Amino acid sequence: MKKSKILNLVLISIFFGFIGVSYFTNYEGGVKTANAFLSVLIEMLKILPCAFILIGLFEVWIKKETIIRHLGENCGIKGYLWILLLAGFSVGGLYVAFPLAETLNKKGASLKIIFTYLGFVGVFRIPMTIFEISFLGLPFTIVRLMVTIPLFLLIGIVFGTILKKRDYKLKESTNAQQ
Amino acid sequence: MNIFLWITTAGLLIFSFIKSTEKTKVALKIAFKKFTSILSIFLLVMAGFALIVTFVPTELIQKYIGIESGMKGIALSLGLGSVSVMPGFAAFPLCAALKGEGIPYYIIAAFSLSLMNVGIVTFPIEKKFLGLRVALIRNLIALVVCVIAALVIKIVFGE
Repeated sequence: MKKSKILNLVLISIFFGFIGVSYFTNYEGGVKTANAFLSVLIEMLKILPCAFILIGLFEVWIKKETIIRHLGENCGIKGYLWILLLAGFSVGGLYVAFPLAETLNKKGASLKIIFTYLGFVGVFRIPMTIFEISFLGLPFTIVRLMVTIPLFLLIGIVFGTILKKRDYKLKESTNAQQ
Repeated sequence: MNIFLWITTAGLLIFSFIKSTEKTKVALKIAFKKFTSILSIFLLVMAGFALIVTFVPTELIQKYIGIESGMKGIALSLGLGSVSVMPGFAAFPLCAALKGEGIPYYIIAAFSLSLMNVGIVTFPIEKKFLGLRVALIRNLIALVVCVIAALVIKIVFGE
């Protein structure tokens, strides 16, 4: 993580170096790039503070523990609602979701629930969704959610059922049991 | 749209302040921390964007991911989204910048959805948890969902 940040900084320095040299040598391409960079930066800075403040407020006022508490047992249709909420509260990408899926597995959640979660987590993380709405507008997000949520629910149920029939087990947890 | 966003944020912030000054301070701290943690990648993505719009001819961009690019554009942006590991916090500003260049919503959807649902770089981790076959199938299914969502968005937004 640290390494990639250093790389980012080096690349940004090169970029600013390029811009600086372009100004001194009156290189048109570089000056144009600087203008494009500035105008897009200003556009984004009009949105970015709001998006982050909204995420901060969300994290402070809504408690994750309430959600987790309801997930231990299989609770029928309600289970899918809770799993949607849990996905909403997840942070980080899919690589964080897999360990959590394993925890769900250990707590006795069904494969249907687990694979539904893996679908939901990619499309319904609330901070990401706040960000998306801020930058791309509410209509886009609504349409996207209306398509992906039902699809991933269906896929989770079908996929989970098929895998269960084949006696499939999550890898890490089988290792743990041995 | 920006104004609506600012009003909503300001409103919620004031409401939060009235309810609890302490919690609001924590919220602002979280916001600031998140902002600084993505700042470098954010600047980098924006720099990349500026370079591309300056040096790649507009016709070329339009040809590959423009409004007329159709299934080819979807395939290309799905590919890019699948191999990228950009955090969403940098990806959505990029998407908005692309939208400003006239790139249609369905292309943006294909890119952002595959970015979050299909992982080629993270595949080794996924394989460890799900096993090779199931991990492969999960990614393929996710890819299909991305295509369906992109097509629905294309139709809904009349692109």
